[in-house]
Amino acid sequence: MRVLILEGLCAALLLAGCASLHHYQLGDIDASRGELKPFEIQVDETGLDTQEAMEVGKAFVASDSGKQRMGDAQAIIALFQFGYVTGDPTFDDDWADGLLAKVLDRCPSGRITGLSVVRESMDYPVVSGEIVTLKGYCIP
Amino acid sequence: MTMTLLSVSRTLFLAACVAGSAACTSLQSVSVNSVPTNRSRPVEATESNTAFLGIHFDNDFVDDLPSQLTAQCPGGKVTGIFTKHESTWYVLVEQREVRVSGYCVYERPSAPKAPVAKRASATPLAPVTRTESAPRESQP
Repeated sequence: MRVLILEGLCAALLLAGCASLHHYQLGDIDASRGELKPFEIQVDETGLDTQEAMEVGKAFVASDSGKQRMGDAQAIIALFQFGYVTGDPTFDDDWADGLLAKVLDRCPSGRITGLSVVRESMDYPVVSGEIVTLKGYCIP
Repeated sequence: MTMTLLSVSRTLFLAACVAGSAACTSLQSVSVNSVPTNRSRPVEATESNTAFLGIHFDNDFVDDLPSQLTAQCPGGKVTGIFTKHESTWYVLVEQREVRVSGYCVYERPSAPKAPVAKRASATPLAPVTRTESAPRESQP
């Protein structure tokens, strides 16, 4: 019974994920032009923690030579990924490019104020959700 | 001999307390907008979020910051916004803090003087709600 409860707790923790806030930015807020209409736009992409994936892979490899090869591959991948990053690597580098077009869709007048940008990640085992959220106010 | 041991253990305990209370701070991101010439009405808001072992489940603590700024500048424009995001570790606990500060500007010289307070309870702008958000978009 206790094992089941512990397993349930672990599963709940793993499924809940862990939130990381990488960047927050807030633009000018102009409340002098009448009623403001709030809007929110969110785009996301799946990230992959390659180091964690390799560690999981090592656990399933029985032979020492296989583990050695996995370690070598892990080192090579790490060499291509050093430097400052936010979140885990994704397979697509333009997943957030359409944000400006989406803002104009939500606010056709183009008069936008109080624009805030949140860059965040939701981390799960091996994979992660890489998220950019824009919130702001549209001046009708 | 016993006194010496006691004195050493006390010194170690005090050193650990000092190291623990001093904490370890990281600056995550900073941004600033264009600064106005009239800087007579500064406004400021701060939000923080604390979690054991740094396991955070969301980043919603930053959502009220725009409303807090506009509450201090009713009917005006908040500009020159400086945004700072930092995190501090207190042994096993992580505290994340986002601080925004700016200047309240009124276009007309006869505009009322805005109250300057760190936290505001009234929110003239409607909060951004999840129900009005665009659907998440994932790319394959």
